[in-house]
Amino acid sequence: MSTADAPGGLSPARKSLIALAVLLMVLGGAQTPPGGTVLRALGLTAEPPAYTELSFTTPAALPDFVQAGAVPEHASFEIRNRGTTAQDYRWSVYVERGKRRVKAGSGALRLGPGAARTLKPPALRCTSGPVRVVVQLDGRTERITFHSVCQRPGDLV
Amino acid sequence: MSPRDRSGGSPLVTREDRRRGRSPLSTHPDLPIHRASNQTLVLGGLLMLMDALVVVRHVWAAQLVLVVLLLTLPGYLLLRALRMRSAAMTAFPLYIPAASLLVLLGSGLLVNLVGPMVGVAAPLRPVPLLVSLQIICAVLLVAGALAPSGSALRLNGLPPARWLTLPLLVPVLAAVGAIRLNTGHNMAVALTTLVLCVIALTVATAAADTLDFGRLSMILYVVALSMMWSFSLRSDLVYGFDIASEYGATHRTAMEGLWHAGDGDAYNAMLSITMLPAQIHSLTGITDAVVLKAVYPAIFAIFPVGVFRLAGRFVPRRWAFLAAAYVLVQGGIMKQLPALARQEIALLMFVALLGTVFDDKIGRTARAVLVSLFVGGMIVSHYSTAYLAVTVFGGALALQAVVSVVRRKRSVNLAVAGVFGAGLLIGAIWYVPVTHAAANLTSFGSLLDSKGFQFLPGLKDGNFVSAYMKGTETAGITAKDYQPKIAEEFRQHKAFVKPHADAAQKKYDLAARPLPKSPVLVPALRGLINTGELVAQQLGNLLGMIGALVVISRRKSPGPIRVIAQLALPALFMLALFRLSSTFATAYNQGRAQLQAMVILVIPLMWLITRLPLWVRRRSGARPASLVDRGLSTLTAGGLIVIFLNTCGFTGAFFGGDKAGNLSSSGEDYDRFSMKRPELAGAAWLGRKVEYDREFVYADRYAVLRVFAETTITDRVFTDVTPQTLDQHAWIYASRSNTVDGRARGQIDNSVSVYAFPTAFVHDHYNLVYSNGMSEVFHR
Repeated sequence: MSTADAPGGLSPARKSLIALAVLLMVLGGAQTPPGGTVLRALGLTAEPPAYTELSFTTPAALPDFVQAGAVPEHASFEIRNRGTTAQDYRWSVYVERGKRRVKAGSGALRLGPGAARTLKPPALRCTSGPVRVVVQLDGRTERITFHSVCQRPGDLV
Repeated sequence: MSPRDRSGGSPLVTREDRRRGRSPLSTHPDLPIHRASNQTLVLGGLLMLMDALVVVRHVWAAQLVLVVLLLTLPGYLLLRALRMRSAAMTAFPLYIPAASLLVLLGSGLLVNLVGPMVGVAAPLRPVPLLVSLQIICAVLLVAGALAPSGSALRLNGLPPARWLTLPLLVPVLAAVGAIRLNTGHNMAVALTTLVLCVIALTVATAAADTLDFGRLSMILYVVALSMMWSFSLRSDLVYGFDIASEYGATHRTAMEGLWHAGDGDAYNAMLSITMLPAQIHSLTGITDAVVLKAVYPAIFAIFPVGVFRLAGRFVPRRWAFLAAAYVLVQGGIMKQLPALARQEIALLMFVALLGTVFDDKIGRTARAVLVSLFVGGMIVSHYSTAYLAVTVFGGALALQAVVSVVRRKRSVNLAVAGVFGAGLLIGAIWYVPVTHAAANLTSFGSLLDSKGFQFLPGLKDGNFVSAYMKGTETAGITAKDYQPKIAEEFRQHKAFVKPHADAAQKKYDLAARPLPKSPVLVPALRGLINTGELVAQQLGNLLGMIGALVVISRRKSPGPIRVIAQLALPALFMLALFRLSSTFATAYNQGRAQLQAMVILVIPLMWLITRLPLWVRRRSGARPASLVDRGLSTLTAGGLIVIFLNTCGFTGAFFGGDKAGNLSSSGEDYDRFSMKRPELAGAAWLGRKVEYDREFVYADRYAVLRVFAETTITDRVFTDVTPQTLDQHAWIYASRSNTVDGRARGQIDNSVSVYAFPTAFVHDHYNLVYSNGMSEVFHR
């Protein structure tokens, strides 16, 4: 005999409605702050991954030539904190030629969650010839680079 | 045993029932008029509830109820307005969600067309969508208000409440297992779900004679949904290959709030991945990604139930269940379909179409309307599914014409002719003047011209059987062999790409970087199971063909199964074509074609098996037919369970080797399909910087899915990141597999190569313009 046939018993439709009501209550509870804690404890939610974006703001216009002792044009870069807590960053700019590396400058800043800051690179110290300019976040893996040719004031263009 | 059980899922309709318009499921007399008007009031109340819930759609509970309402209420109103009897709906429950999707598509198209004319720039937003849906539903409600009481849905044919609720805990567990894997936990819950699914399917196949249609349907739905969620809920976004591009199309439509017809883009022409998910997203508040990865599988999981109910009209219940289980266990439903949103909807329409064509409980007019609507729904959802369906119906029509000539007796079935005609007409309208998306047909013609038939690419050692079994599946190729081949391919067919002058230097040669291999505990057993799965599939095709031929050749075969057999033969012909020709396989993946064709093929296949005991008895007379029947079904069920153990990932978990993506957070599938937020952020950044119409973008086959998902870049994208194929001026996107694991993946023809990402070359020649620790963008 099916449940529906049981005298005095609830019909399957009503029992299903009751089950649905319970499910909705559970869902409602899960959306509250204590529910969120339970979901985290069960491994059903997690903090979004914290990461940092480092990028050139005008990647298609990076300079083919840089002047020694001058701030390169169109080479500003952005640091964006994609984490949920504030982060302290130290950045450095290097000029590389082959295996030789010269530090051009560095700086530090603190960024809140989701915040970004655009920075200009410092004046570069380089000798004439092809170089690679490196911007990196100290103690982290993020780094960006561009190829250029260093020119000193007396160089023929 | 109830009349419903004896009839194999088609509730017995007595002449008296027909005369009085009464449902045979109901033990009650016809509903009096005031009950019918009560039902109209209840339905009206549910429509108002929908309005109220849309207002609070940020609440999860409201989202759940809204999804259920959207997928049932509009469809029921449509079927009721068409005077479909309750018995037909309960005997083939797939009608209701399929019809609901039709109403949603119709209301979406209406508002998308009318909205901009009356100054609504973004008609796919909640208010315009709700207004349009409510207007259509109200019209249907009124049209159905005077329907005979037989159309009033009666729930007393449903299984007990515990059967409607407790089994649903298994898919919930599957979701928990997948999400826990995403958040770095172990596979214990995911594996438990698999074990439960294996047990459920085993018990159901063993007890198919004692369980009724409702309970067996519930088991099929639950196993299908659990398996689909175990894959689809992996990844921070969507999981799979095609679905990355589909998500891109969905997201663009949802963001814009408007579907653009006629831009010629094949993806944009499919409402199943543009307007429909955007509508569900807008109305329920569920994110578009979750609509594709959770809601769509919940809709599609009713597909095997549809196969079961359809087969149940032709073969006994146990064999109908085995037919559906045979379709379910082959892996396509669990692994491929959750990553093919467009085909989830199109296949659902296809089964609904077949259900309608062979449903004698629906009146002629209603059947004609529904056939046209389901054909239309299939066409606007996915072109390949529609092409194959129209070809199969066209083939059956040709077969019937031949039979008519040979026997000098009209054998043309009007329903088959109707589907074929409607398919051609609606297809021509949709793909040419409306969406301008017929280019896929012309490009297929060009491909056939340029590359020819490409007969059996695997036929190298002259072994035809081995080559046929292998079909057009991909094989491996070493980095050393891949490099010159892909370079030559670019020189010949992409001469506009200008590589760097030093790209061919020895120091930049591609290096091998093979995937780490998991040890296989019993290699012979794994190999045997893999081969057995393929053999079972091909044996099924062969027996299906024999069954179809037997049905057609027997004069006393009933009309409907004769038509099914006539559909099966062209379907088999198309399957063979996809397996034999690489060119045809590019038009429609053979695995997906197999899944679609199986809906038809399983019926003559199971019909043939059910006839065997009778023939054995007639010939020998020694053994009772039931004993042979029992033996055959046990053998079939055993085979299905073994296949299921392999396809669901169970054997990988216990016997080693590559683990499926539903049980692991490593391996090839995981690396390709599981997208992490930082990777997506990198792709999104790239999308904001590229000038789409004139710049080249390179992303290998690991990375490219992130680009498709997060950008609108579809043209000028190359997946071969090698020194000799990189243009001097291009963007290169590198994902986690490239930057962290140092691995890249490329493909030429049917050969896949996994090699070391050419880091040195890329760093020497391009600026590294973006970095976030998990993805990088290069440019020059």
